Amino acid sequence: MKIRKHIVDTTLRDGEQSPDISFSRCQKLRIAEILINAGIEQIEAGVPASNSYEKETVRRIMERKGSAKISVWSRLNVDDVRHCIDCEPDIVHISVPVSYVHIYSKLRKNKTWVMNQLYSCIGLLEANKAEISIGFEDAFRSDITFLFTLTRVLADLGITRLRLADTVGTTTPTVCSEMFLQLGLRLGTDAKLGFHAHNDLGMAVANTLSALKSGCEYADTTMLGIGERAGNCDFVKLIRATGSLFDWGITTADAEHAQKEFIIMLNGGI
Amino acid sequence: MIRITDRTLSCLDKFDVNGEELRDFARLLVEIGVDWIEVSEKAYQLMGELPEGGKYVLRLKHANSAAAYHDFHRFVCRNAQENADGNVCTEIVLNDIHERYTFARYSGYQSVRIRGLDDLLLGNYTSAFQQIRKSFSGFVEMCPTNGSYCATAITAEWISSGGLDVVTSFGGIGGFASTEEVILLLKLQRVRKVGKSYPELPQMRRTLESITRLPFSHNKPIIGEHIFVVESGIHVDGIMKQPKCYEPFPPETVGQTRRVTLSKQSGMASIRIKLDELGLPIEPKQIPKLLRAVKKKSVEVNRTISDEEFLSLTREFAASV
Repeated sequence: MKIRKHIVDTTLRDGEQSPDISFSRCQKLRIAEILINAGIEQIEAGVPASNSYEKETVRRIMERKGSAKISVWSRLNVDDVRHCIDCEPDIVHISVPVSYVHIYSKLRKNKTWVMNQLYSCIGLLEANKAEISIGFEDAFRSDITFLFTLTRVLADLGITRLRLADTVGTTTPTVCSEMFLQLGLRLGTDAKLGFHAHNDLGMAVANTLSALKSGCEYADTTMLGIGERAGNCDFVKLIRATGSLFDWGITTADAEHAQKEFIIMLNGGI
Repeated sequence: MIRITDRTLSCLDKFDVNGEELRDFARLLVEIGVDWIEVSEKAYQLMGELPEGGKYVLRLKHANSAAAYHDFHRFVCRNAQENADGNVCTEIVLNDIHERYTFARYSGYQSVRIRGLDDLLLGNYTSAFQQIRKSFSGFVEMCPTNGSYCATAITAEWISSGGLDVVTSFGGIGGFASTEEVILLLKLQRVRKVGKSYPELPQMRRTLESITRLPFSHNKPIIGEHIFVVESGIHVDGIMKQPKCYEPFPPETVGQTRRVTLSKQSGMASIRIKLDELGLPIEPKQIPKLLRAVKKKSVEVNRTISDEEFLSLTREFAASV
C-alpha cells in the first residue's frame, strides 16, 4: 500500500514572487478554485502583512475554501502574525531564519533574539484556533545544533508542524534525507514534517522525493514550478515522479488537468 | 578527479544546424571546461574540423566504424561489443535498476556507460551504485536520463558515492542531466573548478535556442533569463545586505546581472535601489508614500512597474511636495 502524502500549494505565495508573475484578486480566487477542485489539501494563500489588498484577498479565499485548509505566511515578527490572525486562516505559518547568514547578515540580530521572537509569536497564537506551522528558513545552511535546539523548544511547546526550507536550492537528496531522518528521531511520530524546495540546481523534485522517503509528509509545490529565481518544486512533475510510491489523493491526470486550467488562466482565459 | 562528458553535440542531429554553429558551441564547451565533448557522426561531418583545446568522443552507430575516424581516441556506441583496441565505450541502457540482469552480458568490459535509471532515487540508490561498481571493474560513466526530473540529482549522488565520470548535456537537451547544473553544483561543493566563472553560459543558451528554435524557460536553473530578477521586497532587502541570503552564487558567476523590479511585493529597500539606479533624488521621508503609490499602481495594472512608470510616479511626487 502506498504511503499517504500531502501537497501544500504555494503558487499564491512563493509562486507569485516569481518576477514574471502577478495575480489579480480575481486570478487568485480562480487559482484557489483550480487547486481545491484538484484535491489539494492545503493552499498557502499569501502574506497578509504585505498590504491590505492581499489581506482582503486571503479573506475571500477563506470564504471559498471548501475542504482545503488555507494557510498564510508570516515573518518572525508579532506585527506580521497579527495581520495573519486578522484573516482567520486555518494555519499560520511562521518562517524562522535559522542560518547565520539570515540571522546575522539579513536581520542583523542574534540567536537569542530568534528564540525570544519565536516565543512572542507563538504566544500570540496560543488562544487562536489557527494551527501553527513553523518553517526553518535556510535550514540546510544552518548551524545544526541551533536547529535541533529550536526543534526541542517547539516540541516542548506542542508545535508539531515543522517545515524545512532549502531556501537557495543547493541541498542534495542524501543531505536532505539525513536531515529529515534526524528530525524524525528527535520529534517522534507526532511530528508532521514538511519540505519547501527551491530549484536553483535543478534538484527540487529529487530533494522533495528524498525528504518524502525520509519521513516528510508535506511537500510544497507550485504550478509550473514558478517561484523565486529558478522556482520551486513543480506540482505536476512531483506527482508524476512519485506517483508509483506515494498516495497524494490526486491522480496524475487530475494534476495535469489543474495545470492546464492554470495555464489557460495565465494566458487570459478564466 | 571528476570528469564531465558533454553530449550536446550528439543530440542535435534532428535540427537544422550548420557546421559553424556546432564549432562555435564546441569552443564554448571548451571554455566552460567540460572534459570531453561528444559529437555524433553527422555533427562531425558538418563541423569538418574539431576546435582546438577540446578532447572529443565520437558517438558511433556501429562500433566497427571506429577505425575510420582517426581524429578520435574515444568512442561510444550503444550496446557495442568490446573491440580489440578497447577504445569504444559500450553504452548500456537501463530503464530501471531492476534491469541489472543485463550487466552480466557486459561484465568484464573495460569501458561502459550506464544510460537511463531515471527513477533511481525512488529506491536504494546507494546500493544500486555499489552494485554497478561491483559489476564493472573498468571505466564506468553515469549518464542518467531525466524522465523523473532527477537526472542532475542522480549525477550528484553518483559523484558523492565515489563515481568520477558523468555524462550531461547543455540545458538537459536530449533528456539528460544539465551540464550547467552539474558544473555549478560541483563548484559550490568545492570539488571541481572552484574558482572558475562561466560567463559563456548566456551565449550558449542563445546558440542552442537558435539551433533548436525552442526557448529555455525564463526560470531554467543557472541559465534562465529571469533567475536573477528580484521582485519580493523581503528578498531585495536580504540580497542588498548580503547576496548569499537568497542567491546560491553571484549572478556574475554565470554571466548574468541582478535586476530589481517593482511591484505590489516591493519594500522600502527596492524603492531606494531603484531611486539610486535611476539617479532620482527624493527626500527619505517620501519613500514610504512612494512605496504605497508603487504598490497601488502595480495592483491596478496587475504586473510589475516599468522604470518609465516609476519615473513618472516620482515626478508626480516631486511636483506634489
